[in-house]
Amino acid sequence: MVKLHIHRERSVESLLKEHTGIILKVCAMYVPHGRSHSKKWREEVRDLFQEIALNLCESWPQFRGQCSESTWVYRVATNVAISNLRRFATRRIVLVDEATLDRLEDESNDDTVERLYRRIDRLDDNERQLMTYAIGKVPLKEVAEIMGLTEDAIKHRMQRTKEKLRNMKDDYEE
Amino acid sequence: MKNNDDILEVLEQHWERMDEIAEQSHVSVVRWHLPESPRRWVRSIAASVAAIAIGAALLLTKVPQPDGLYASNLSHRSEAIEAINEISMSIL
Repeated sequence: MVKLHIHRERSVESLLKEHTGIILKVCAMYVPHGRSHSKKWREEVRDLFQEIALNLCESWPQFRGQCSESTWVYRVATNVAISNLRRFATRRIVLVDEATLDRLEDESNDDTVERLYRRIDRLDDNERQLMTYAIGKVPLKEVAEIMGLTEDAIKHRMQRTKEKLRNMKDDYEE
Repeated sequence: MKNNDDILEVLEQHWERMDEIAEQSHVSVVRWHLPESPRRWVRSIAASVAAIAIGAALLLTKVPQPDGLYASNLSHRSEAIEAINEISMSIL
């Protein structure tokens, strides 16, 4: 009665393939970084990657091109990361290969990068979202629309967050 | 990290390397074909139970013919209904 069919969905796969970079970056921004990456970190990245990907797949039919596709991906991805959505039942599974997780772990283990991420971990949701859009070069106008603020306010908050990050002491220094 | 390092620049370079990682990645999507809602599940199970019950009842109330085949015997209708009830109850 209950059948499990596995088949590749080309359109959804191509959407994910094109934006895997953004999903990985949002995962790196939102999954807390430990002193050294643990099995737990890896599992959380894998889970968040899946949740973001599933949300993208489900929201894709509703995307009407109101903004650029990459902005839309950033928006969905950060919303998922902030709300920490968890599903109990899903009709799709998205799998990211282990080699990618290995490379992501190696890349994020770089000392400078890890220290930066540990500072980012201490930002609040809005600040982290702003930094994600800033580094992702999402157009200011679109960020303003997503966050319901004026462009000037966004510019000001981005600058303030950047200063906060720059002046933040590393946690072991405190 | 020195405080005069440009935070955004460091992260931008890191993200560029992540784009390279993404280019080499393999993401696959698989789909579970399950009934779409619990209600559909219940309907599907109920329909299966009913089909089994009716099939079994008909089989039990059919009489063998001389050529070896089975044919419905309408005179056994009340027995069939009784058998359906019994089988349904035993399944549920």
